Amino acid sequence: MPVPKLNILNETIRNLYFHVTMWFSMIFLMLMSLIQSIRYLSSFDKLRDLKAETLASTGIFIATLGLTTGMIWAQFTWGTFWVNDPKLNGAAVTMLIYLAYFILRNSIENEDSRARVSAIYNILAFVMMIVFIGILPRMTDSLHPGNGGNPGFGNYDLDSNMRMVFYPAVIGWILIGSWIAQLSYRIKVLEINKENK
Amino acid sequence: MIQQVKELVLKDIRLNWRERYALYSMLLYVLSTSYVAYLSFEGVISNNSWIALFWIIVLFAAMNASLQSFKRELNQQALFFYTLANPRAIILSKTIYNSGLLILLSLLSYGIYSVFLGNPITAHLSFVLCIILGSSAIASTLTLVAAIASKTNNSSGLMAVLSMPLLFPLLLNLIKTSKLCLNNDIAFVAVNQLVFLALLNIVSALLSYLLFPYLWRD
Repeated sequence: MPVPKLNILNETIRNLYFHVTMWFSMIFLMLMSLIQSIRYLSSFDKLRDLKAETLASTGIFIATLGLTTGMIWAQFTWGTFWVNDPKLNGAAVTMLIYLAYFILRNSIENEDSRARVSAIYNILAFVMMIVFIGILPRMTDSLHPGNGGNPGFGNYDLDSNMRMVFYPAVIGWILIGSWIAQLSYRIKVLEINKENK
Repeated sequence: MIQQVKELVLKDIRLNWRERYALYSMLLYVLSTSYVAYLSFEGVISNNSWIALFWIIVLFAAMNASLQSFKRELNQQALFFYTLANPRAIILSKTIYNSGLLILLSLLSYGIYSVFLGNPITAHLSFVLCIILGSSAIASTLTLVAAIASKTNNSSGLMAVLSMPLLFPLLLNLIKTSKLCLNNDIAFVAVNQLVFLALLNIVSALLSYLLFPYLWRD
């Protein structure tokens, strides 16, 4: 697929198919995790807690990939792996919040209280994540494409060639994320069943 | 419900007034950190450092204050207490009490801090509003996190781990808002940022209100 030829960006514009779609996939997984946590609190079904945990850990995995691809792209376009920028800070904070979620899970021994407390923190984490990566960067100037006067890809892409890859890539990454989450959930269920036998 | 919240806030004020040493220790903390800052900067400090240091002092005062808030509720007595009052009233009263305490504390430290290190702020009305909204946002987030952390074995250690990433963007926003208050002749600036802070207050209070009833049962 041809991509628009642009200064500085050049072929790195193809990172759109990976970096941006990975963050979409991560937000989808975290949303699913949030829904499972809410359903856990209304039913107290332990499998829902397991689902929430697996989805969140898969989300963190995809977010790590998204962060890495973003950093490599930044090295070639901005000349550095990391800049002090609202959008990047938001991403780093989101990672920290979800890592704190796993630390919280490991620090409670009682299974019921662990499931309940971490479901509550998961809901708090998701709402705060939306505030930090969805609302806060939009209030300030940012170096990141799509913010603070920097055009997003929609402005570059005159003949819609990129859209033909981008939208399927979004769906694809979301499906891959869900698939990994489902696999690791099924492995965990098998392990629990094996222990109980 | 509102009656209960009022009673519980009064109860918290009375109990903490009876054990004033905690309040005095917070005051002493603010006083000594301001003085240490004065000594280490030798009275000359750039505006940016002034703002950053001020909010760091407020942040750690808030951490200390909210760690206390669920100490008393950890024992067996608490279970009885929770059956008497609506859990939502309990968390709302804690949030209101902590916000009030922190607002007083940070306004006071603004005063002390200005005495030692001077006051570069020109948009006073905005800055005071920023202190009020910012400290109540910090306090209401920390109250819910303290409630979560009180359920674990290592509550003071986990408190820092859980709350730092949640407070870090808030702190950045507060520092940015304060910088807008620096070189302005108009008394009222940074309306957008202040509205954001107010919304953040509402969001965290709402989350505490919705989630706490699930948290207290054990």
